[in-house]
Amino acid sequence: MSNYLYLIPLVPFAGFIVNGLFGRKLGDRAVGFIGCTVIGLAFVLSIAAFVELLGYDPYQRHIEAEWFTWLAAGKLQIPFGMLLDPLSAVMILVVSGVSFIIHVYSIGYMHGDRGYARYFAYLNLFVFFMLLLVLGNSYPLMFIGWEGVGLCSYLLIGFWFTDDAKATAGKKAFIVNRIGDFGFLVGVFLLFGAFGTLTFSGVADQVLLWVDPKTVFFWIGLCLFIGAVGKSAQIPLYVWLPDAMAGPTPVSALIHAATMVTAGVYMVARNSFIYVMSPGALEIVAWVGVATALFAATIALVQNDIKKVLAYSTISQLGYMFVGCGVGAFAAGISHLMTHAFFKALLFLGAGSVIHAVQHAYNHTGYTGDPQDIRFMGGLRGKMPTTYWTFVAATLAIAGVPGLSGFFSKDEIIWKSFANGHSAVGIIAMIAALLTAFYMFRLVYMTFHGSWRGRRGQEDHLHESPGVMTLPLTVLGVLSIIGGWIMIPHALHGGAWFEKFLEPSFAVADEIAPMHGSHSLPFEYTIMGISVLLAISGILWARAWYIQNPEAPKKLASRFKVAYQLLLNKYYVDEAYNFAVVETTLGTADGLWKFFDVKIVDGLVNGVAALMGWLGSIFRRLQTGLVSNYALMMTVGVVIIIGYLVWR
Amino acid sequence: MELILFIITALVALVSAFMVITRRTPIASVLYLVLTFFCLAVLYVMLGAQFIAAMQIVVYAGAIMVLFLFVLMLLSQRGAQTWEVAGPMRKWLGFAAAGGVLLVAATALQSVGVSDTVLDPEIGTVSSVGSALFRRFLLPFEVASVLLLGAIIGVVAMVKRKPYPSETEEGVEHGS
Amino acid sequence: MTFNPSDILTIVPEIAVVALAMLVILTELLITRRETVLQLMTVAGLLVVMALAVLTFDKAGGAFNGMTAGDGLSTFMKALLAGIALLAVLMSRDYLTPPTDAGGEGRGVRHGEYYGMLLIATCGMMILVSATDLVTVFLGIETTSIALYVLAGIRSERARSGEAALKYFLLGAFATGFLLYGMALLYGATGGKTNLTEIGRAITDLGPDRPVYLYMGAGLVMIGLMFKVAAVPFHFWAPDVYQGSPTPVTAFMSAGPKAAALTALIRVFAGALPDLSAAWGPALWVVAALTMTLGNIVAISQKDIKRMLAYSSIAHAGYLLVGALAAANTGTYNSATAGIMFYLTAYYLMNIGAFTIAILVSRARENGDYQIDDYKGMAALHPWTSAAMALFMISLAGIPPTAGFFGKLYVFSAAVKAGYISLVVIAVLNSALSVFYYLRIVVYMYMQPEVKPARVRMAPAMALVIVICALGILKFGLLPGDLMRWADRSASMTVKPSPRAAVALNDHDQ
Repeated sequence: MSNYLYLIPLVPFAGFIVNGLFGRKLGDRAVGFIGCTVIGLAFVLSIAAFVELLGYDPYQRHIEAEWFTWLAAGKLQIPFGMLLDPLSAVMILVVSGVSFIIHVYSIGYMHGDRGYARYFAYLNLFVFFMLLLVLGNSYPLMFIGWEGVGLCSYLLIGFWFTDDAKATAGKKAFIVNRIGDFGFLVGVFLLFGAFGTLTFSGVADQVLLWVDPKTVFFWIGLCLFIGAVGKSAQIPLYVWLPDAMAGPTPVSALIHAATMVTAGVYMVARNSFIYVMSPGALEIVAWVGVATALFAATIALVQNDIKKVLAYSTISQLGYMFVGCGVGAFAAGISHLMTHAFFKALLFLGAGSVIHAVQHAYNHTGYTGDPQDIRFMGGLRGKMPTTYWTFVAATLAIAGVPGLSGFFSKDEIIWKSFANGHSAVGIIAMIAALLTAFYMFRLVYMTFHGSWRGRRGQEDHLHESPGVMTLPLTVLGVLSIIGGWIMIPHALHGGAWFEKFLEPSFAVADEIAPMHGSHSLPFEYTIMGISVLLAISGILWARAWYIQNPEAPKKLASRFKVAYQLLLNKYYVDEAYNFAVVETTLGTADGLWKFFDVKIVDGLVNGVAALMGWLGSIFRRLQTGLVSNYALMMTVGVVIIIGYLVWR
Repeated sequence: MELILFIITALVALVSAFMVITRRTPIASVLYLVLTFFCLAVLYVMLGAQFIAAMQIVVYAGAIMVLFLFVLMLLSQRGAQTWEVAGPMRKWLGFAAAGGVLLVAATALQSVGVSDTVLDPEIGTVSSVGSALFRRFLLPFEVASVLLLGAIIGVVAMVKRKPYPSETEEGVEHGS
Repeated sequence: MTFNPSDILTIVPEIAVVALAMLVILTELLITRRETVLQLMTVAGLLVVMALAVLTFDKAGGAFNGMTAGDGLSTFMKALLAGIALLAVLMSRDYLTPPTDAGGEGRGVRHGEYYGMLLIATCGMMILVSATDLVTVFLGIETTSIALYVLAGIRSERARSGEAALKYFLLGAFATGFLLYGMALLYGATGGKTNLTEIGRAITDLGPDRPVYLYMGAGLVMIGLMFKVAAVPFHFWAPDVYQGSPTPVTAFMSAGPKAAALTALIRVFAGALPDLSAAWGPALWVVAALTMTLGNIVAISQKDIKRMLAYSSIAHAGYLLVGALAAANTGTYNSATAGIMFYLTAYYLMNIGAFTIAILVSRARENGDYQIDDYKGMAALHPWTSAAMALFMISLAGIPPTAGFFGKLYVFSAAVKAGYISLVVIAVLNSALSVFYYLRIVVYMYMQPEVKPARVRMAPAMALVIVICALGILKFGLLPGDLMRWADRSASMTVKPSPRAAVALNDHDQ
């Protein structure tokens, strides 16, 4: 086992090295081939690891392979090791599998791009860091992956850096993420302070024996959650994700929908033993999650950019995953993480296919418009059947139509919220589910149904994408449909196999605080029924407005102008942040600098003099003038420090 | 008797030190500095450190001060430069800060106890200083030679060059 | 009290450096205008010194009547200092001999004298890091400083360089006054002790009723060392001097003296004065917090890369002071000191790397400026140089997997163990803030259209420096184990604070 566990992240890394160093010389075909092969290999290895894991007894499924002692400093001993348990097994399968599909898709999508080799090198590097993140057996290793994926995300968002907005978006993503990382790091320091070890299993062992007050867990949990909020785009740090859609669409699919953004959820699930020690922290996780789910869903209702709708939908769905973790149903959160990876990757790739086609049509007619605006689409159903049908499959899945993957995972989260006594959270999650069904079908109807609303003549140039792009769509379409069948709950006479498989990973958490949720079957059926009803009414609502009576939404928008504008402008959060954070920070920095270096040193001393009109000759003789000012300030420092020591 | 001598010497030292920093012409400052050094030498003698006192006069009041004077005279041939140092505002701030240091130091130094240990009469004599230098302080003594070597090379390196541009050829940018 | 010939072994690296300095200066007289020979000679000599520093490791510790120590801390630091000088020498020659069509920056400096001063400064720092007596601390600081004053002004045909030297000299002399006054008070309060171990013992013997002027002495010594470390509010000289000095000297200055003064700070405060930590601890706490915060905030608004790096170096001094504070706690002495050693090594590599690229970019400009705007669009033209610069910036920002991250990790985790949680929170917040300005360079290089591309002409020696720095950062960022083990072992073999001086520091956290 330990022999090849390292290879899972290392193989993509080798791809990065080869593509990064020799990419330009190798030519596009070879680069694409290498890029996909290494990820395919990682996927095969992940399957092998998974199969081997299945061979063990459920509660023996915890394999730590330590390579060498990575960091050793006195008491701080951190091995460089990999941890394979059901949780990380699921993660590596999802990450390498979805990555592989998206790499293949990228061959077609990025065809002919100037930075083809660079693109694949970054993408391979991303997969390396992501696999390291989920496989690492200690917090520092996880943090390296955590920062690494952030770096790649940043590089890939700004991939076409000639576009200024994209570069800005990349920067924004990075800076917002740093706020989260700050929380993560402080959390890790607190962990180290409390337990003196930084491996997951080491900390888990000590948590089991913990007898001291539990407040430390609240702070650790909160700090780590700040990290998760940054990476997984939750309120209030979600602002970077919609902007991140500026990158190439496959990148949006892979990094900003399927894998990287779910790292926060993975991290909370991995730390389940910390969170169950602090109900307060869990409560925060649940509420932030559900608030984000609803908040982002309302914004998605009125967006006109196909990728923006999907971006807010991603934020909303990530909220669901945190609700799952927050109500103590970590397995449900991870289930939704997996199904979401399938259908959201599919939605983005489908959107990419649509954008690709529309851009193609625009280019042929010499029109330079925004190829992502759904107001100028319509009727694509007939032109691109594969894209259409797979997109519909994913939409049905995310809307929670029974039988498809999204239904099982989302319903499980909503049910667990009620079962574990968080009814308010559950009700809000249900409302968000209704909105989800609505905005997703609005997107489908506006894009694929009706007739072409762009320029006349353009529709003749719309074509289905090449096979290398539609094949991944089909594969993901199948997964979006059947991906949930392994989690059919007992209530529906399924085996809930997935939940059972994940159970050992949350065993410590379960031992500390067993969840004695409700097991009332009628109650569960009721909740399920309401969920289904809401999903179907959302779909019908969208159909009523966008197929049968297209004037209705416009009328409503003009009647509730303020609300509409508020939603359209995403509650003006970006503007508020820009004012509150960016402007103020820069202003403060500039002000402080002027204050310290100019006002205090030269100013307070010389500036006062300047006011009195004595500036002239003194200020020009900077050489001696300044030095004596500096000396003066130093003397003040001396008086303060010595004064403190003497009169202490 | 000793106390009176001490008070007089200390007062003269203080006053002349004050004069050093308040005189407008550098020559006057240097002359007051010589006076300060003489007073310090007297204080050293009263502490029983005859050798140090002699060194103080020979090296500081003698050699270094002469050097200072030469430099100043050579410089003033190129046009005497009175240092327009400070406007009143800064002067007062300077006094306030220095007063602060003085206040703090005065408070702290009140705690210095009167020592009744009888000093070894040998301390400060040539032989004891020499023996300390070459035994206990052997390493510092040698390091001091490196320091002086560095200073000598440095002076040569800095001086043996094109003359310093008389006016600032580029504006000194402050904090940009 | 007598001279023990084997003591000389302890100071072999210092002797070698001084001998090398004289050799280089004399050789220049014999072979004029042969700069390459001089540089190679200095480089080879410094490699020997590095080896000697490691080989002369002496477990016994003290030598020359307790004036100096050849313990783990000084061995590590001497090797590091030789390394700093080595890279500074490597990057100097091309700076001192500019391409004929560029502005004549660096002309007219005699290389031998320049290297000689660099080596004497190195010798001074070596004395400082191994000093276990107030007298040697003082002499080490002065030897270093005098050589640095000269180096700052060695390009004196440029007014700014001369001005930097003058400022540094005047303020340095001012700070030295405080330092000496403090040492005199310590000497008086401990009954005529200058040896650090003896001072520590004497203070312990004094018991709880210590004279107030003892605290004043400690405070003044701290201020003198703070000046060298460039901690707020004694940092004012740093930006002006860093900007005005020749860039290789700036690189040398920002890494070497900081490392040496910090070592002295650990030896004096963690080693000799841990009993007084209830007094100086909070002061150092505030100074550390102010230093990193001010450094980072002011760095954000800089437009000149040398000035930006100067403020960044002030911020890093603040992080290091957090470690120094933790070192005063007996329980975390080892891990904090080892963390500082690691941090200093990482800082040296990333900072010298960044300055080297700054020189290259500046040389590509006719006016020889150091504007950050010059980096716009550089990646398209110089992918390798830009990648290296991005690596240095990422490491300075403390993002893994780079050496800069582990430096922070080690220092901060030691501080957490010592109980300084809120200070670590401030530090981590600060390093999050610092990303803003480090990243700006990366953004400029990769994501801005090139305005007027800087055509960088790479020189072999410069390339070597960049490669060494980049490889070092990656090595210590991916596999920090070896260096950390060495640092840990070195820290554990230090003339340690006496066990009686163990004071729980945890309650001083504010």
